[in-house]
Amino acid sequence: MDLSKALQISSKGMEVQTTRLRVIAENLANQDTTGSTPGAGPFRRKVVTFENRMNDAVGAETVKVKSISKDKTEFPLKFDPSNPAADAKGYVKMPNINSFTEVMDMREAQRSYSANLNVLDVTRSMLSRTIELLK
Amino acid sequence: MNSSSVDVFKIAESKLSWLDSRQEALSQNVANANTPHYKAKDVQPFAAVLDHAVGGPLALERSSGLHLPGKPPTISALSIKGQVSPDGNTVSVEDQLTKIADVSMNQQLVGNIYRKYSGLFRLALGRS
Repeated sequence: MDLSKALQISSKGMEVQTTRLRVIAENLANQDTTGSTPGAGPFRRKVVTFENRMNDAVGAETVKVKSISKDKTEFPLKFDPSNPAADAKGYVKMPNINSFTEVMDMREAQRSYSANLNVLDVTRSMLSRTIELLK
Repeated sequence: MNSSSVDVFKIAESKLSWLDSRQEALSQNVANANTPHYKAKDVQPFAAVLDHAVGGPLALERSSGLHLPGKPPTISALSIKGQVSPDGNTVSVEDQLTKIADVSMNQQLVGNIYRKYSGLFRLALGRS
């Protein structure tokens, strides 16, 4: 039945937004994670991408996480000679994370999650109304 | 009861299944609101499905040649053109949610009509 498929599609949509939120949480939690040996690289920002794929179990196309890749932008340098990861000149490579970007991404994930939740709610009430016809 | 050429139960059934498919398409759009290169989908209008269900387009009856020919009822999809975002996605979540509300309302309407009509049968059979 199409309505139960719609329920599954919405739940998959919520699932991928949850994964996105998890990755954002990882990025935000690691925004000060540097290396521990001189000249070592810090934490690299992670990025989630999505794709629409045929799901045989559901019998419809559902959204899924395509990949969790690494952000290739350069690390900013910070002068901090006391840090164990500082190079010969006293500079430390900091993670390439901008907390504003992450917070905006988080907001977008939240909105997409609510949109899916809304669809789920509507679908569920449609389903229960159809069942009520039998009474 | 006048069992005329238009079968309410049959139309209600095809409308309900059309609404089901539309809800599936729309939920897919919302789930893919962040998927790059995803193009928003919709199902074909109900008028085409209805023609198939009742075997020919519905037209108004004309008792005189002077009457204006009635057009068969068409349900046109809300065509709010969504923007294409930089990643090639064309889903406008607001647009989709409007359509979903429309589907839900229509489903409630068809459900009420169905219940009313079967109530008439029950009344005729004396089992109200």
